[in-house]
Amino acid sequence: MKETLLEIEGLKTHFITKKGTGRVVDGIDLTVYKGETLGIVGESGCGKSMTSLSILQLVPEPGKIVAGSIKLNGDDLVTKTEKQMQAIRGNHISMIFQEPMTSLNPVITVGEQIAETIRAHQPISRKEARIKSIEMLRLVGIPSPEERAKQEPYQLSGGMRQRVVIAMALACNPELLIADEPTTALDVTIQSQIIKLMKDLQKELNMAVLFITHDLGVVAESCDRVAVMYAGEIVEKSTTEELFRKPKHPYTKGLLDSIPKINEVQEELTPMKGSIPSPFTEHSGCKFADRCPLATDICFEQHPSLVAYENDSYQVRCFHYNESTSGKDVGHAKQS
Amino acid sequence: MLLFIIKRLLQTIPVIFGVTLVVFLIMQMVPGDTAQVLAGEGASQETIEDLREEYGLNDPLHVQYFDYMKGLLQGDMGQSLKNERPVIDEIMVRLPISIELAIYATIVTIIFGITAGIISAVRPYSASDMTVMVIALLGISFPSFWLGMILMFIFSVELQWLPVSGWDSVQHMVLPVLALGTAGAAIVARMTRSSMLEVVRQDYIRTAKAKGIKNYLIIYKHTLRNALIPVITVVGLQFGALLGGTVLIESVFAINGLGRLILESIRMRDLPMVQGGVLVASIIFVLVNLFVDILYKFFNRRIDIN
Repeated sequence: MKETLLEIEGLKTHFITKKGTGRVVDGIDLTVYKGETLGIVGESGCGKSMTSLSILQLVPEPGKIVAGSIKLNGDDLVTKTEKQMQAIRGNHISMIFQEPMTSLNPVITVGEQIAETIRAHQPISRKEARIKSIEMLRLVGIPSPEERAKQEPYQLSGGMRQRVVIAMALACNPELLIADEPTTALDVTIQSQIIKLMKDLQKELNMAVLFITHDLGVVAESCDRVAVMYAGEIVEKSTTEELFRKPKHPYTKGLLDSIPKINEVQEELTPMKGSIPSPFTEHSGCKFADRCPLATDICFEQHPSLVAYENDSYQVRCFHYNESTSGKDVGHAKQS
Repeated sequence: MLLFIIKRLLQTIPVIFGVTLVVFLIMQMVPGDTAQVLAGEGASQETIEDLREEYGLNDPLHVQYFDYMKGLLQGDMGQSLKNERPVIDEIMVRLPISIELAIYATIVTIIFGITAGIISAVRPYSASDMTVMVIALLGISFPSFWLGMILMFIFSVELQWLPVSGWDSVQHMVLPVLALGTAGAAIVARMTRSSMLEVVRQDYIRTAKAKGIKNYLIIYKHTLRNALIPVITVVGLQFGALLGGTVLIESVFAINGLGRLILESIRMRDLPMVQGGVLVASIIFVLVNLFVDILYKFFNRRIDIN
């Protein structure tokens, strides 16, 4: 039986402004098991980054967690004070951000940036922390780490910096690593190196990874299970294999269709029409209805809920999934 | 970096040369007859003519300028018309006092300015922020000489805590330094605040928070270090402005610095002294700017390359 590490229930993170309420994260349930990699996929603006910042209680103003619970080993993080969260951040849960160019402090040596993380959570001396930081740099495959530790971020390449960011995140042996688009800003060759590095380290340190990305290729490469997010909600959740073999929600199908395929002659890509609705828009029906090729009246009137199928092996939020497609592969729905 | 310093040093040569030319020409345009002043009231036309000949005032302008430059390159700024002492000697006596005043005022600028800026930036739009920013606005708005007189009135005349004028002891220095440093402190406070608020929004501050770094370390180690880079430039420029301010403050508090020397010399039409004083002040200004540029380049090297 898989052991639960992180359990998110009914999480709602809203941005309350004078213009109205932005439902950026609108009722999310997620479970991350120990040692696994869970991917969250979706377009920019679907709320995946806010979900991860919610976990760390770092939602920027005027955002606020208005409902739900985030339990780490059964302990609810939403009710924690800022001080208690400081002891958790970087220690039990670490995060890697998208931009290695800007996520390191430009005026502090990379060694010190790793060492300070260790000293924030462990009662060790400056010198021990420095030695540990060099070990971490070696672990993430940075050559001559002793010299590199003394350098400032501007002296390192993008791939190197992302390795430093990873070293920093793993310095305290976290149980959960949140990786928010960790490879998006990198070259393709560096991308695969970084993903491989993360997978190796995950095995070595036995931690769980919450992998946030818009890149389905990266998901296929690195995740055990996937949750597809759309407009602050999860629309489909399954194993990675199942998702690619038989996507169920029309949105997931659309996402897969908009990727160029290497084994087919394609004159044109099939982009999804429309764009993600603003979190400030009120919906009475399905949030995807406006863009959905299968949408019927019910989709505009009622909000579908996330339904589990086949002994909870996957979950889909769509009225049309059960009735028209149950049991058989509908193929990729093309726009008519 | 070394190349940059050399290049910047070479650039100052034409600037200083230009300064000598401008100072020289302005002195020529000042109304009044130097020889007349020299000879004193009621002197005969003959005496005036003789003096004019003696000091080379009849020569064409370019010859006068050439003579002046020749002397300058040998470290000779001419003689005071008032007491016939070499200008350079007089300046060397007065300059240290002005520099002392400017440096203390800069220290006030830095300490008060940065502290106030941090207080403001830590809780933006709070009551403490508003208070500090209103005080800063007042500080910028008050002219230094007026502030000097008000301070003098309150602390020296009414309360009698501090001496009215002079530059002999620490007590003497308090008011002029405060009067001179306030405007700079206010500017630095505003700059520090806006710079810190800018830095707080950066990704690396979010990274630091995600690492579980304590708040005070995020402010002092991660934010302030980056936020102070643009503040350095402001402080440097303020130092230049302070040199100008010393003229007024030295007059208000009767301090025998370079500024007061220049002012007195203008009143006396002591042309070589004014010329020398202005030139030295200009050179200091240029050198301070050079220093600030190099400092800025040094602190900014990481950002430049990105």
